[in-house]
Amino acid sequence: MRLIFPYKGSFNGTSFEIQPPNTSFHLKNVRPFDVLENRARGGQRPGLKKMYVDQISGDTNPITAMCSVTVII
Amino acid sequence: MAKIDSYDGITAPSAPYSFISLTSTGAGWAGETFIASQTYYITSVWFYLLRVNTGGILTVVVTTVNSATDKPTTTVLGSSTLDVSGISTGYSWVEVPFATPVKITKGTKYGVIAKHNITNVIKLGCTSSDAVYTNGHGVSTVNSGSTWTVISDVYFRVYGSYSPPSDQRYTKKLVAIAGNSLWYESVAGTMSELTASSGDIDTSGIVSIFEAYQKVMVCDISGFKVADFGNKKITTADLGLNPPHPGTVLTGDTSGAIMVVDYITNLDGNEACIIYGKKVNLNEFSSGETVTGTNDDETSVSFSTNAAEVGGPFWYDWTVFGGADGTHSDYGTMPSTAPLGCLYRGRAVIGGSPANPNQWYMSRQGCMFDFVFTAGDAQSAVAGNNADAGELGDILTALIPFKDDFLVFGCANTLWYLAGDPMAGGQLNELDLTTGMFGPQSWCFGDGGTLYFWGANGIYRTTIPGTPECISQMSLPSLVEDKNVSVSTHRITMIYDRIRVGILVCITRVEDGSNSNYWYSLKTGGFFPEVYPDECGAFSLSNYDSTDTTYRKLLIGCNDGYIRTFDEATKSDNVGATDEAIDSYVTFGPINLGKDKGEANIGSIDIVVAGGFTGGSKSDSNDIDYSVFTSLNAENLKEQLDAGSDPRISGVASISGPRGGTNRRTARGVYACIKLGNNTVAETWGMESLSFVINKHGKVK
Repeated sequence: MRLIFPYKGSFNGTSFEIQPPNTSFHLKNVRPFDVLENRARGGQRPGLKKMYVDQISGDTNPITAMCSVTVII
Repeated sequence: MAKIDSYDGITAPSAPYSFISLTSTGAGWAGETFIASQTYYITSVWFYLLRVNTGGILTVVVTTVNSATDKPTTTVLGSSTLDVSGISTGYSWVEVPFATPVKITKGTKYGVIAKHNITNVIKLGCTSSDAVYTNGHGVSTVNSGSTWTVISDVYFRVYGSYSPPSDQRYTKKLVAIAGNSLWYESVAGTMSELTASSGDIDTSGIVSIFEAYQKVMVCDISGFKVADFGNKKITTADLGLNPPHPGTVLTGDTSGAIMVVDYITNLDGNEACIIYGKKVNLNEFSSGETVTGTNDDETSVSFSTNAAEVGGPFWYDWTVFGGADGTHSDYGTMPSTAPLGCLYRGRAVIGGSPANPNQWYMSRQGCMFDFVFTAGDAQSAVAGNNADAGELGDILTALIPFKDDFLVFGCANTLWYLAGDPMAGGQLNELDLTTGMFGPQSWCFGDGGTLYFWGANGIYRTTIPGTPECISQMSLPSLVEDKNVSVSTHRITMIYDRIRVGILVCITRVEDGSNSNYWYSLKTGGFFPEVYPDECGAFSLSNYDSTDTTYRKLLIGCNDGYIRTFDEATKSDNVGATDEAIDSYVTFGPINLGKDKGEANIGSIDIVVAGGFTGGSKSDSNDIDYSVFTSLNAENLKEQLDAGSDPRISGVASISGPRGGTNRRTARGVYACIKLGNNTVAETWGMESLSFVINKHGKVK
């Protein structure tokens, strides 16, 4: 028997005995497109990396808002 | 490119009046100083010269000039080289292009100096004396610029453009708020604090920021601020009789600088005032010059500056025009606070004030500083709320502009939308009366303009106009109950990931950053639960359209003050100084192994991990841990997984051989689950295929 990665994601809306095809009742930190080749075969989600080395406010304060502004040069 | 500064009254092959020979490196350089007639970028420098010998490289530099000695300094603003083999042996104009243009400023003196690394190869053409060109001097040095001698003026041309020779006409700056201050991207990749904002924002409650007219408007629970990136600032100690109006054009009588007024701090005649405006030419206002203009009511503006023009970014109170001291209401009145804000049809829209949480306010179209609600023209400021006639109106939770066509009002229990402009025939309509919107950031637009949001029963989507549909209802029926979210304890943020084509829904506990999130794949229509380290708990999200592709990412404003992004090449989650493993798993099943609930053995599991064989052209997966659970009851499998029970079969599939991992052990049951995963730092995985063999037995006795 061949199993396909549950690309339709989490599904908790039916009885356990008839889990809908291509869904899973127990998964975490996976995505349907793998990070290695971006193919629909499933795998771990991409990791989180710092985009800027600067710590906003210089301390462990949450970044409550972000936006960008266009400036004519 | 145009010739902008020069002394070039000679045509090849005419012989110049005199010449100066360039001698070898450091011994004999020569050139001309000149006063820049405009502010521009030098793209090439020309000299009238000839080659008397072969070999070597001609170097041309642009230097600053010491104002005290009136001689070039050793500060090189830019340099360029030219192989002299192509230079004629007769006098001609020779161009030395600058690959990196050099910006020079109007009225400032610079030097253009020629050097050659072989003695007596190049001769520069000169005039008869130093007095011919009145904006500079011919200069030469025999000691690498330590001392300079004035010589006859050297023929030269400086070509340039008034802007960098690039297709880029704008830049983007990321703005982030944390710890009661505003930070911005001072140069690509570097975030710097806007110093004046330090301690001037209240981040203990809702903070909304939005872009408007090259500014970032800031709304928090204590008031309103502006981070101004586009305007220039001039100041006066005496505004004169008539203050300028919004949009009045001001001209510096001496400098010729021109500014369109955007905001001023004071309306009182003959008092000090700060004027912010959009410059329309490169000339700069100087200190002490008279500035004049004419208002739209034909009154004359005239005042003297007491300082030279200053560039931004600036940080100041967002008040009505001229109302910084709080004594003027000529341009209306803003509510004392309103922590929700957005830009719609050129109007600033604010709302959610504690005093009137159902009320929204819109500024005049095109002017963020005009809140005169009684003007009554098609562009005037306007205020309102969202309710059927006679009702109070629901509490505003989010303001969502959709292009300039619709403005959605997310409310605590209902949704409304404004079609068009409220002062030009716009209509307020109900979008849905059965669901509201969780918070100011718990929405996003996805593909094709579809609005996704967190509502009463989970995650919804709708067109505008349209009928909201709860898309999590079937797959995650207990989502709201399970998450038990409250606006006082949680923040929900959502964003469209246009690269990976999905919606990221982040549910973060504000107290500690702990989180549970969902990736909704628009390609497959499935929800995928995700958990990030507490340090990475999302408090804000932004799709940053940086002009630098390195930073053009989906950005996550995290609990620990860092801005992060998803990266396919990153196999762990960064938590500051270290990385943390991603605990990832997926469970297949329950699989009914036999017909009519008959028992069977599951065995000979074959897992092919992604990447082909070890090495090769395809990226290799790290190991995949697998485990098999069996039971006579399907629901019991979930209980086993939740309880962390020992599996019947377990192992590791790796890429080391032709087969990732084949396990011939068997496990018996009616139902089975197979769990794949990895929880190792600096590792990631993908699967190519999963298969197994079933050996059926009889019915359960």
